[in-house]
Amino acid sequence: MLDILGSLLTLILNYGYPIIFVTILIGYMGVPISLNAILLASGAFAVDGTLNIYILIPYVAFCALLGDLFNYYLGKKFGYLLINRFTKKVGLTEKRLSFVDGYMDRWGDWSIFYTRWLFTPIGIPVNIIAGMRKYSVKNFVLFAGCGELIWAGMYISLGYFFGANWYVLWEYIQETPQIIMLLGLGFGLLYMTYRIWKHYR
Amino acid sequence: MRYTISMDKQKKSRRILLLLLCIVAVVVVFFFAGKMFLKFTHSRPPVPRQTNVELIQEWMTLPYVSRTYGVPFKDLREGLKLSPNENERESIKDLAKSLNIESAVFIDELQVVITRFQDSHSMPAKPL
Repeated sequence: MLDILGSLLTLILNYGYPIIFVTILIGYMGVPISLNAILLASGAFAVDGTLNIYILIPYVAFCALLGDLFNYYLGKKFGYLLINRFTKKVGLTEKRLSFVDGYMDRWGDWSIFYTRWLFTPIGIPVNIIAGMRKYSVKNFVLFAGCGELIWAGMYISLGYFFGANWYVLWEYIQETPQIIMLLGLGFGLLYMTYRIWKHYR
Repeated sequence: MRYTISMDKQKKSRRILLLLLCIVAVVVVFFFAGKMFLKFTHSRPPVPRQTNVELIQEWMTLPYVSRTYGVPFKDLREGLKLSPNENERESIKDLAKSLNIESAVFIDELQVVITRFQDSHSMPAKPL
């Protein structure tokens, strides 16, 4: 197991909720920490009473929502600065990226919802894009909150159910979010091909 | 005439592009669906709440091990010949370091203590 993850787990065992809060926020800042492993472990720690599962699930969802909002405001404040400074050089101008507006209007709600718990590897970029395109904060909180609740509930309950064996479970399902995301990408590509074919037919 | 030829060419290249896109999409879908299928059918899922001593790791603390494996903390400390002054909050790795022994050796000793405790009690330690 990675040293960082191990140290974090020891800290969670000793200090509980505040460490979970910090870990989730660090994870949402883009530091590569396996938050899924942290959630599974936290669920397992709830078995012996170190943590309380009924507090843990809404608490983790709330921390994750704060992380989402951090990314959202990061995108809102600095997103265009990034586009104007760097991406312009490779041809990605503000005008060319305007198609994202249409996408956010049409699919924004569900993109935010599903990237919280199903297609998790692209959660952070979706938050930043939502902020950049000034997606409604109210809707963002609603859909991200519901998604995070599912994410927290899913992993913490699994950890609780598997108890001391959570680590074996983590090794077993570790790659699953990435596989699901790439599978989704494949289906998306198929759908896009169908749409283009239908358009030119 | 020239216009018709260029239109045909454009149509043809579009068809090839769409076909390629479709092939890539199908390959991606089948590859990852296959990977998922193999993963979940060819490897055994873990057993819920199994308290196997082999699962003890460096990051765990002794009170956590005590709670998880159902061995009273006092027995654990006595079995490992630890003084009451040792920091309970330390991980096994740090504890082993402070005792100047390898953490793997410390884990081995811990496993022996737990197994001995479980054997000496008529009921095995209740899985959590």
